[in-house]
Amino acid sequence: MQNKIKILLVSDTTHFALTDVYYGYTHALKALGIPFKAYPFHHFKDILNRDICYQMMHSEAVRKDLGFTHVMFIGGLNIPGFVFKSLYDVKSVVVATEDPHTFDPLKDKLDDIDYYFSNEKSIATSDQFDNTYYCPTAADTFTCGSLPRNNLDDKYHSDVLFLGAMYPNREKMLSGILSAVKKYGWNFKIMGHPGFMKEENPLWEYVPEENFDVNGNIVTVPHEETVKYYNGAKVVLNFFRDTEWNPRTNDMANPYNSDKFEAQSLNPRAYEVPLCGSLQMLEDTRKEARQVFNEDEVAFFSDSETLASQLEYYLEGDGVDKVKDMTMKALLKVSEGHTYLHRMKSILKVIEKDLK
Amino acid sequence: MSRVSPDFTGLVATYDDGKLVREKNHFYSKLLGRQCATNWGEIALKKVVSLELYWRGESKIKISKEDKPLISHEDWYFTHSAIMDAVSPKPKICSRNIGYKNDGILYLYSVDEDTGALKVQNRVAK
Repeated sequence: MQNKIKILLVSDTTHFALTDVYYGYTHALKALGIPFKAYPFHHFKDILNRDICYQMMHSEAVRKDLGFTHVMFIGGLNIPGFVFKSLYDVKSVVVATEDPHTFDPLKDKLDDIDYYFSNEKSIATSDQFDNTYYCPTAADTFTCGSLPRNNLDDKYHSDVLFLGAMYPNREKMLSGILSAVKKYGWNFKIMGHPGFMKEENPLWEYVPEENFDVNGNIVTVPHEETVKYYNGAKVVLNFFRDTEWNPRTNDMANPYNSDKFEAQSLNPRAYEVPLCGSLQMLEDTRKEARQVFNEDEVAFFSDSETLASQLEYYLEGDGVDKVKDMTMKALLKVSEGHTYLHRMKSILKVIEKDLK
Repeated sequence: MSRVSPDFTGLVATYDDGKLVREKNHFYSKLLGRQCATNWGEIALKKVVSLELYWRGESKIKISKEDKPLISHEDWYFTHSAIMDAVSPKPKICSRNIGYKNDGILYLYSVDEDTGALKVQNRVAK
């Protein structure tokens, strides 16, 4: 009988998405001393055909002499069904990070997945499934909590930063604070994936040149850089993803959450920003926002009016003196309960049961 | 009144009787019978109720039993690193770390000597 765990850790296929999660779990497995092998799919697919990458990964997973007990897929959205169906004695563990927005493709494969850890509480706790578990996103102390903030280059500094994909709800919210940005002359940066905005949108003025390549195309900001921008910002804005709109279809009908699971849970940014020591302004439109954080740790807003007034208060008003205390409390909260080391320990508690 | 002087860099431990133990450097420890870089070796773990790191007079991180009542005296953790080069007569502190253990994880907070940056590290407690 097997009693020792050994994991094949497989990254998501895309470069930009989820590499932070993948490296977070890599660091956690190392720290915990769990035998594992990393399979950085996002690098392999740059030099090999994608199907070959899947075959290679599958061959490695089931090789008896390597002795893997589990294959842990970060994201797992693009993994073909045959992989889950033919792992034999090796258990499949999916750590989903994009739920509920893109749940449908994996929901159809749930019967062949042994353990499905969802970042979304409404899915993890649903009565519909018996192999789903709740595993929220987190932050990595190896990347977020280790930068000397004072030594950052000027380009990383800002008063107000938004770094992420420009969904319609975020665009609307950001447009609403432009008058305050101009009034106070804040150093305002919009970065990430602003490409969904129309050309005439005045928000383009705040997208810095480092978000473009030499040909003027938008480039992905890698996670190592993202962390530096978080560190260098006085305030980082955290809007949640639009639950309806989908960038693939570019309309207000998301076809990948057909069961309409409610989005309750937080994104990785909610944990990464506090660990970087910056003040987070957190949209409190999700149930978990106030379950995880409180007003002594982050500043909440629910629309562009409250966002503008919170920015004024914490950048220009009496709130300036409260920021240090708030950021310290938020940092301690995340480092003590919301890192990938904590998440990996929770996952191990579930998957180790079957080995005993 | 501030607990430390404006240019103080180092550790302040608070005991359960309210006594403060401030870091002293280039310290001869009677307890250990030798010259030490600091007086950290003489801090009585059983009495500690809080640990606080200062950098140039500014409190960078404080961990207290008041906030974490489950910490026992065996859970406190503090360490520093120092170098002794060929020209300096005394060791130079490079980094100071304070933390505690809980549920198999060591929560460690460090202050960089040059920049004052706070570094967070979670490790598996040995």
